[in-house]
Amino acid sequence: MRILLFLSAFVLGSGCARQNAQEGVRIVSLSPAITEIIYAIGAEDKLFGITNHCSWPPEALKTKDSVGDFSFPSIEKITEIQPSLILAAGDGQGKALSRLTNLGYDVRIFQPADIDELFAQITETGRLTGKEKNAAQLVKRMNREMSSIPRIKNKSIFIAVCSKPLICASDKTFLSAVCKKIGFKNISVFKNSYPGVNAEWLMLQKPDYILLTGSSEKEFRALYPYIKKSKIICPENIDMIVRPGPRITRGMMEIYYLAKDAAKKNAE
Amino acid sequence: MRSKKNFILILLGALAAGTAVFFLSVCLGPGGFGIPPEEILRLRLMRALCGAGAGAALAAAGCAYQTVLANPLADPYLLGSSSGAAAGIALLSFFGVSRAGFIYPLTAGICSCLTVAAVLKIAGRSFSKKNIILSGVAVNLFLSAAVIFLISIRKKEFFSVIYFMMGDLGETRPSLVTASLGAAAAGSVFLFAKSRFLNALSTGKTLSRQLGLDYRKESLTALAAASLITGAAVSISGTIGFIGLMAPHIARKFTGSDMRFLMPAAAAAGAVLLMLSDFAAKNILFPQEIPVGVISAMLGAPFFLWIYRK
Repeated sequence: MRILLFLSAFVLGSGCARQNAQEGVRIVSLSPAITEIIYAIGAEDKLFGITNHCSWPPEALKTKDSVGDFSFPSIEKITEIQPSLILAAGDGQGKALSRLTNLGYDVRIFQPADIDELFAQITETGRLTGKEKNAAQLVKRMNREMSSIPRIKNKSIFIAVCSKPLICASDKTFLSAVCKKIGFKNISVFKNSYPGVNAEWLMLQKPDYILLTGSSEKEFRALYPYIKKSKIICPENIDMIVRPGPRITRGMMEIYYLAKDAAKKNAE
Repeated sequence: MRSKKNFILILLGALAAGTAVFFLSVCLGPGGFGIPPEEILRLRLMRALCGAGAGAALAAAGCAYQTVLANPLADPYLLGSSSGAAAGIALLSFFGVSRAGFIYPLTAGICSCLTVAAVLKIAGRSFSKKNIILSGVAVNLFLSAAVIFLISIRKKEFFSVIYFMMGDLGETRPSLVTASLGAAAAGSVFLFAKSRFLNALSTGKTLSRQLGLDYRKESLTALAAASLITGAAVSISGTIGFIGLMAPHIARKFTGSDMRFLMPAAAAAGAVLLMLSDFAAKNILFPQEIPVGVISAMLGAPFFLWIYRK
């Protein structure tokens, strides 16, 4: 009898343990920025799938399963992973996300419009993964780093995400919010996030700075030799600037110092 | 004597129309009419030059395609010639080849030739109008898919290639513009020199043989020249549809089918059409831009249907 009771307790116990494991969060990240946030708060053990573009931290691509492209992830691979939560960037992923939602997955879109929303999303990621404390610490650290960045005053900026054709990041983008936080005023005020614009208009606007995220300064100067007065900011590591993630404060710092260098170079 | 007088009159008329639209493109902007500041003037001049050159080249190529294939629907875009050139350019971009000198127009021209050869092979010996257009559409779709495949591998070029496939006259690199327009001009002059053969061909294959012309050789040469011109145009303007279809038909209304008159008039009509399309593309939503291929397709698609029904 005792043996029977012991055996049933063992079977029930192992069953419950398996059930607990199934209830654990299994995240698929469809955004490089979200992958960075998950690693930064130490919740990588909850991460089971990433995209080909999730290049930071470097171990992510080595250790996590890839579900393929950012815009066209493999639904089959995601189904195989059986995630309990899919975190996505939203922009450019519409079709894949609606398919995943139709399949019954819990899909959440993290698309911060500015730094405050980014902090809120880091906190939410912490809550979803049970790493609230780490998330709060990360937000605190980023806030501290951000307050140490000096501000640029009364300078206008044009953010070119592609040089040919000329496509800009408008005031509706996170990138614009980042520049605003540093003190820049984005001249591209449009309804669309990334509209194609006329080079003639850019010449007439005469922005103080042009931030290049899709081409080199040499390439831009060769394409638009007539835009001479604007100072060019061309960061080396674009990912730090365009991804709304934990490295954004370092990216902001880089933009600030590159702007200062460009102004100094121009003055000489 | 009379025909010479007509030729001069048509040439002058075409030149006057082209110059007027060129002048309009340069002087009329969102700020009103007038000579703009020097830097903007240069930018507009370069853009108008690209529009005029690419438009004229596409129209000259369209003339040759329509005559050699005896198909009023033939056009560099519908034949897949432009898509072939665009695929060649996408391939060069994929491998990071710098956009300078003759390498782009030359590669685009060769790819364009190969595409037209493939379309004609698929269409079969009969060269029926519908077969050629359907083969062109199929090859077009295949090449567009190939280009999308290439940019899927290398996401960095995504915006550039997508806009390029919809037409973009914002090219400002002098070496590329000079090389492309030079190649297009040389090809157009060559085709103009072939006017005698193209005239004979428009009256029928048999007559051209009776006139002692090597039909096969001359046809292939004209098709190759038209494809090389298309490649040169595409390398500075991207894929722009229907200019090569509309311009020869519009010009034919004024000049008739004599290629000596038709070719320069069609070139001028092509230049005018593309410059006007670009003017609309850059000013309708200023400062936002619409790809110029969208405007030309909005004009050209109903035109195509009209010709088809005729």
